[in-house]
Amino acid sequence: MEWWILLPLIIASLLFLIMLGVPIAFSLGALSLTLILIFLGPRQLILFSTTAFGQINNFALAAIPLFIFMAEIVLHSGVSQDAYDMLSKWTGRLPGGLAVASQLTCTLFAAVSGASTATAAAVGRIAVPEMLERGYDKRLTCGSIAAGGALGALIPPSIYMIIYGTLVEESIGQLFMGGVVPGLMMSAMFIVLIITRCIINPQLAPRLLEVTWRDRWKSLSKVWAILFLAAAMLVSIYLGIATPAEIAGVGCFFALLIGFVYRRLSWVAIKGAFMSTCRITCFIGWILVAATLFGYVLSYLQLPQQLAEWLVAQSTNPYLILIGINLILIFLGCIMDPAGILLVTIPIFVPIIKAIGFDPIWFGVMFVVNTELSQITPPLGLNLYILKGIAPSNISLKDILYGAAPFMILDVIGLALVIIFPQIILWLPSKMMGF
Amino acid sequence: MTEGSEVDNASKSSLLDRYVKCMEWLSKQTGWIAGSLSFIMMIAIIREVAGRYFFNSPTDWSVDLNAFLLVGMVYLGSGYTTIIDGHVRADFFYARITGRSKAWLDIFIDLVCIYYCSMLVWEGWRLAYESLIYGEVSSGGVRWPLFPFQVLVPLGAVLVILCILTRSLTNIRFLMGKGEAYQASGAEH
Repeated sequence: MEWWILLPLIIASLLFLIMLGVPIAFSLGALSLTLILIFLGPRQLILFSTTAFGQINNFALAAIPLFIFMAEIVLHSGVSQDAYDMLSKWTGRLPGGLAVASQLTCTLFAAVSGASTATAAAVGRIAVPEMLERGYDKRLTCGSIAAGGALGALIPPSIYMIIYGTLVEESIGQLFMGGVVPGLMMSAMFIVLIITRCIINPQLAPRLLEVTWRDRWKSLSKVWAILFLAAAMLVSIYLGIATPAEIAGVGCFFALLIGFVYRRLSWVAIKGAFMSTCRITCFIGWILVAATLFGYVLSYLQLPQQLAEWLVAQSTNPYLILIGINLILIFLGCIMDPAGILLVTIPIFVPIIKAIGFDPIWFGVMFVVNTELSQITPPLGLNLYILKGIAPSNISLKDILYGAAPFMILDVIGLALVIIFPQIILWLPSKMMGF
Repeated sequence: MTEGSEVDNASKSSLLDRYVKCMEWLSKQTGWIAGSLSFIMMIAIIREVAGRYFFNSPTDWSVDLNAFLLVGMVYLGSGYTTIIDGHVRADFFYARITGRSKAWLDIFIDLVCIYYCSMLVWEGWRLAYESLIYGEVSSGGVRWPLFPFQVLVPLGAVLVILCILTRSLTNIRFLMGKGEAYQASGAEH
């Protein structure tokens, strides 16, 4: 069969299964099994066992459960409360001070958390009640935290970058470093937007009581541990003195230590952290295996390669293809979880990207910048639902969505910026030691 | 209705209920074990890093052990992930369906899952069995036998199938006019 018939057929069947509600891992797996039986023959079924074991039996991936575990521990250790208190004292005099503080807390928490949802939940649980109590606009409150929480995936560590780096065989450390500048850039853009809106319309954010400098310095004392943890992880990745999995393991240990020293970790919290770690690692692992199988089958049939060749032969503007890819990613982002999108699309998009001549590190980070948007776009913007779960019941999903809308525009601008100026992503990785 | 037939009805339906309860218990326990493996991973990494930077005695087992523990977590935890319906799906169509059509859709989805998992059981077991017979070992610093870790793949797939069966059987009973449609048990968090 011609590739241009087969490839759309395969993608259509995959989308059909996914849309019906078949879990993504099983959609990919069942489709791959059928394709292997039809095109490769039963002898190739050994791929199932070698992939199911071999793809998971990988030291680099051990960073995933460890980073998830660390974020859960930090979440329960009350450190984010301290950080929020501290930051709100320092930003108190700015227009929209508390909103700026929660944005900064998101950024800080993102530096110890590998996922967006954990960040939005951690900051939202603390900041939303506080901001509403002080009379902040409910849309601004929820929207800014939903958008800021998405930074968790972009600012290292990042679960998505670990998955991408493993599948594409690129350096996870370089991917991590690539996320730093865009992450800080987005965070700064969000803060500028919040301050501007609060200057134009002061009713959005009432001014706070005066805070003395003494209080400010005092508030720092509880936060230095988490600042140290975040900084130490970034520096070790930058210097290349430890692998991400090692950094994750040591980070977990420090997070536990911080939790125990402040006497805030309960046995129930630790058990809860184990259970979430198990669930998230497990579903990522299952999708990873099925997506690898899917990738094998596609490349055995030479489909992505032929698509890439065809695209290059059309000598279309590479940026046109890139915009097409981003539009597909944004569309998928509306209906699927980012980890799922990443794993489903890598086997198809990365050969194209390499054929056109773009840097795979840059593409990986750009992908994560793209997911910033998908975290807050309906109908499946995970962070919107997380905020809905945290906020009091008089705040509707519509309010959160309206609140997040200005940030969606900033997400699109950020995405455009990293596409037009690849240096935003590539500058820091190029300065890393040992590369 | 006499007292006898009531007891009879109860015991008939409870066979499935007992199976569901049993699977819920089993998957919670295996999930808990799987999750706690992250603690062992952490300890192994601390030992490795401390050994390398402070005592100049790196280990030759930490890297392999962590990879194997990850296999354990992904496959032992699959029962728990399945029973709480923790696998990620696009649910904007799925969430709108209710009642009998939902039960039919679930049965279809379950068949797709079982189709894939049964192949993992079959091929996974063959790989593990061959490792056992030929005594295959890992290639790292310490030569771990591969069988105990490879056998986790078919084991995890069997767990998934058993958990999926609780849903299918409950839904079939519901479609036959008895009992309720299936509800995933909540996450323990």
